[in-house]
Amino acid sequence: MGRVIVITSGKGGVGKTTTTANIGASLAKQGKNVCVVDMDIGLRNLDILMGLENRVVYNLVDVIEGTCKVKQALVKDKKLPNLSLLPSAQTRDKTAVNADQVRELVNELKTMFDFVLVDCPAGIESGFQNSISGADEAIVVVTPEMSSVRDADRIIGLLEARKNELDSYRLVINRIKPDLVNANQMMSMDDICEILSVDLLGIVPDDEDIVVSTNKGEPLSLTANKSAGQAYRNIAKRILGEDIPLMDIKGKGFFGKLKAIFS
Amino acid sequence: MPELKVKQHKKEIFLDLSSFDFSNDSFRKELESELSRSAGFFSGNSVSVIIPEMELNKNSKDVKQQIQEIQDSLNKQNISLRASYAAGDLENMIASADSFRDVKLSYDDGQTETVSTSKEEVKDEEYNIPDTLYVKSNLRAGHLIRYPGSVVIIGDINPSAEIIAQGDVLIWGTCRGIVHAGSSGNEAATIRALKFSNCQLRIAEKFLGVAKEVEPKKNEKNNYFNAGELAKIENSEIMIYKS
Ligand SMILES: Nc1ncnc2c1ncn2[C@@H]1O[C@H](COP(=O)(O)OP(=O)(O)OP(=O)(O)O)[C@@H](O)[C@H]1O
Ligand SMILES: [Mg+2]
Repeated sequence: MGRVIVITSGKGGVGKTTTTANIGASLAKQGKNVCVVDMDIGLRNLDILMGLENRVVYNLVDVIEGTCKVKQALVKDKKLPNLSLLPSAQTRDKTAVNADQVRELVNELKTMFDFVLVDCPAGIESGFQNSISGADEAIVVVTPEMSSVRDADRIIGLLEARKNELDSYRLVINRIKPDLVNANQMMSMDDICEILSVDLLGIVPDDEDIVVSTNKGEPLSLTANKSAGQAYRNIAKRILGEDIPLMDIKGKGFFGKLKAIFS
Repeated sequence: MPELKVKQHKKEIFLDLSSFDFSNDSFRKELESELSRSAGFFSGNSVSVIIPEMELNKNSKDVKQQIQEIQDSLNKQNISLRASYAAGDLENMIASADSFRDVKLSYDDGQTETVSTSKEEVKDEEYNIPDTLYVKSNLRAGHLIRYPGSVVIIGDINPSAEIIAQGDVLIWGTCRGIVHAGSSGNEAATIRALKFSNCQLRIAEKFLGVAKEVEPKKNEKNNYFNAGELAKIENSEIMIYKS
């Protein structure tokens, strides 16, 4: 039986979809059977990040409404045959499905894959409630901004209310800009962990290559040997239980050269 | 949307469901969403529920079924059901309704709460309520506790979480949120925390915003305490002392 991991954040635009695609690709590269599920109904994105947008035939709502079988809706990755995408519907909205239907769906996917990664929409409304339905674990993505941390805190509060269903909820801090942290202009990793007091799964630097890879439709973690690509590969390894030390994110500025901020 | 009211009598916690419409199919969904909003607050506890009188008197299979469903919903949140009462029965059981205290536990969805200091609340204060609400978890963003007595929190109060207590507040953790002690006008109320950081404190009608830079004063000898920080009213302003 596979593990269902929901990737969530509260605040929009902090990198849930990017994180889902990159962790999914890294886990597949490690030989695992992986399915990434786009639960952002009405705002389909994940297919683009994976470069699969013109292969989508059926979608998640079609599966739930019985229009097609799960297997028919799954889209195989171009390079990694053990990575599949279950796309969301572009022309429907969040009310097209309910939490029980989603639970049933992920339970079925769990029997087919080692990992089912669910990309959650922003917010705490029904889209969020649907996405966490049936999840075994959660990854909360946060950026080093007060508003993002507060929304993550709220989300963690809601996840804690389900602690008898969720085995774990862990944090990924995305878009760390070391130069700004060094200059004391950004919340540090320590500040964030102290407020949220949950386990840290990984840290990802702000990396403009992410934008390039998004447009190419190829997750960065498959190609780049440095920076964000490496960070996502490390996260995947930690999910698999490996003990990988946190990445040393050094700034290019004057202080960054003098000292590493995260040890 | 019906509201889940939490009440306490002696050691027993009651979830008052009398505003729920049991004949409505969505009642269970509404109950579960209300329960999940309490953020695991009652998890591991055993509670009793108060059900609208009429529902129990129907004495049909329906009612048993509904109580079973309530139990299932509670179990999902790791709460066990101790007993269920019809709203009326309970009032008979407890002679004085005054001994019932409402514990308001809900999310404040962005609306700014005005703290009312109505006469009724002041009356409550006169009862000199001995019981203290003991909470063993972090209060996270959006979480709100309103309690007509003193409150002890084992955990942090995070930014935008809020406690409004008529008595004292003791936080075994860092306070980064909003705390109002002596909310019905008691100027002798105090707030203690291991640390106050970027928080907002109120005691009775007095107000103090605590930024990171505000260094608490060293406590004088006659007020000796040896852990954490203390906020109290002195010469009609809130002062913060550290051990
Ligand atoms: N580590 C990073 N470095 C640089 N840019 C990033 C990084 N992570 C994400 N981004 C960029 O941030 C934007 C938002 O990312 P993404 O779509 O993954 O967020 P999201 O949380 O899924 O958003 P939504 O809430 O709208 O679903 C994208 O343009 C993406 O390229
Ligand atoms: Mg997204």
